Amino acid sequence: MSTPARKLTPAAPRHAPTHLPTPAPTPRDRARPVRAPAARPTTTSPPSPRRRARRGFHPAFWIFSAFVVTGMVVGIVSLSALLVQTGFGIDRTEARIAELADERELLGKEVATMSSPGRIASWARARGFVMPEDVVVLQVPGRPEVDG
Amino acid sequence: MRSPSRGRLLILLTVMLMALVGVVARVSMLQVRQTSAYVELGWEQRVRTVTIAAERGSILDRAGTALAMSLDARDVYADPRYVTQPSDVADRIAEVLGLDRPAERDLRGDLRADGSFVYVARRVDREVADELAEARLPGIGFLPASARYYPAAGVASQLLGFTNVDGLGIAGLEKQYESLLAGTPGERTSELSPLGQVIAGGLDVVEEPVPGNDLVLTIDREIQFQAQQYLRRAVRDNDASGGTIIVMDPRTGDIYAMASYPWFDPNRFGDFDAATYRNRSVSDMWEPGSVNKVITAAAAIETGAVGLSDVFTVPDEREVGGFTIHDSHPHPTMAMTLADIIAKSSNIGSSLVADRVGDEQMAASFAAFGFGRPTGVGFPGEQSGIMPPLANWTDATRATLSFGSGVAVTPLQMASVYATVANGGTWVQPRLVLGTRGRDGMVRLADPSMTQEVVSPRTAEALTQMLAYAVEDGTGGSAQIPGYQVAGKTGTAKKLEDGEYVRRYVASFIGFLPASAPRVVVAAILDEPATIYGGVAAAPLFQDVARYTIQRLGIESAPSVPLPRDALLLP
Repeated sequence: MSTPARKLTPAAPRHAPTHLPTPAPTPRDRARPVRAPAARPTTTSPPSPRRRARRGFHPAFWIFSAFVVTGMVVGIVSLSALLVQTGFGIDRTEARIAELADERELLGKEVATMSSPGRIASWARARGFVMPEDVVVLQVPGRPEVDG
Repeated sequence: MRSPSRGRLLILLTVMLMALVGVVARVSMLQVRQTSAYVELGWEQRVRTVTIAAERGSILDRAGTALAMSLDARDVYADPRYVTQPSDVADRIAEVLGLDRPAERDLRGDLRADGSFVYVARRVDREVADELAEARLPGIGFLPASARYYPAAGVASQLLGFTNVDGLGIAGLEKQYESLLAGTPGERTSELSPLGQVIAGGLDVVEEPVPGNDLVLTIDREIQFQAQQYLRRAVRDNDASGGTIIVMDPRTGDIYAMASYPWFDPNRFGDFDAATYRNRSVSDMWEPGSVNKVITAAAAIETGAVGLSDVFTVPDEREVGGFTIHDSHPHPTMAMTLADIIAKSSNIGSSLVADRVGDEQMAASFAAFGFGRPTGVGFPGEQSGIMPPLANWTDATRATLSFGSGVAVTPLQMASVYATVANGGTWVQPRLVLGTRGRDGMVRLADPSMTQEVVSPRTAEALTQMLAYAVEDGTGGSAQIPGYQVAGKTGTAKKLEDGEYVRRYVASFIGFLPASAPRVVVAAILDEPATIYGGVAAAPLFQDVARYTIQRLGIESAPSVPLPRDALLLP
């Protein structure tokens, strides 16, 4: 479906010439904002894209924003990866601690068992060691020196 | 098609509305009135709290060597609903755990039983449990547990005691210091799915358990071991039924060794007679016999009732209160000083001394030395001994008490009497615990033992001379150690059974050394030895133990104390 082209007609002046004395505004007119008289297009053509871009943010802003956003994403991802890695590291360390604690416990048990006097005595007896039948404490003749 | 009548529609609508109202009412009831009950029910269904056992503290000797320790272990259980082939599973478990045939048969029955939980084995070594876990047997599970291990086996077993299968101390120091050793169990509260798995992100609160403290004993493991070896040998050599040995420091009350034969291995205490669990040093009483004469002598000297050079005319038997008492050996009437009475161990002489002291002073002396009350050593089941009340004393009571008959004491009470003399007349409460060690590894020493002056230092010195005389020229000759002056006393006492004295004896020797600067007291007691005399049966045991202790503690010799003059040499 098509519509007939609209015919452009010069717009009628909305205000009186500036050199003429301005009549006192009616209460209704007073409420209206006063518009700048000149530099206004007389046609209702749509605004060009160039003018719109000029009104938006500066390209440096976009570049900066892109850097910031990219930096934040990279930072968050890196931090997340770091946290995960640290978590794995903690898990590994905890597992190692548990392993070493177990090992320590076993070694403690072994030391206690091996140093048990009963075991040592049996071991020694099996190899022919005997307890001395009569222990004599030797006395050195003379009076011992006493400090103080 | 005919449309339903308006009336039927109204009825249907009414019924539906009523049903809706009913549902709303019920929902309101559940959501509003019974909210808390259902919330609690739901909570109970999905939240489980599991107790996390605290690691039990170790028991250490005075050098920090472990006498009892806890090891990581596993309880093995079965859920019979999931055991598909009970026979095969039982075979495999029996093979790994080393079960005998009857135990394996029982296990087979357990695996076929109704129910969802049955223990297969408890306190299994972790390595063994790991081996069983690798077999991936259906329906078999494992629970964390802790097993008590006594690396020195029978060494100080009666002191240490043992724990039950739940890790609770039920005998000895394990029982006495349960709260200190056990620690505080923790808890884990988790939200579980219907399959029993922890819901990720759900409630999961862990309250960590607080491990128990270590207990540091005054016991020296090496002295304890050697004392037990000598005790066993003495019991066998003398064909005795048992024996007791105590080694202690008279200055601090520290007990270096304490044992009774026969003993047991706490790692498998179930294999031993329950009588071997008893620490007879504190739980059994005996009539001390002549070792008690030191108290009579102490009362005589302290009260001034008898002078050191007073001479008694001592026959070998005497009538007192309608009873005849006599010395252990017949002898002609002799002149004896107090020192001679102690050295020759004369019952008659001792009764004559007691006559001079009097009932009240004798009773006071016994009480001052701690008779009739426990020493407070801190061991469960310590006995007070039996002391007849003063109101019931007769002349015969006084006479028999003077030589250790008619009174019952524990070996520790008697050792404590000699420790008091050795310590210059001041009683020091015996103790078994040196301190505790926390998880930080710091040892916190216990307060020093209580002390109380029982007799004056002068009296203690006179007694020491008499006891040294008893070893050098009296009945205790077998206790002599070359290079060291020993002070001590022999004892031979008849046993009392069902109120009657029987011809079975307890032989004892209690002494200390070096006499002038005592470092150690040793009490050696043999029950029913073939050779009944303390000087023959028990004194050599004292000698062996004391000699080893000298080496172990590096005790130096000290100048000898002068011996009391023999009555025969008196002017």
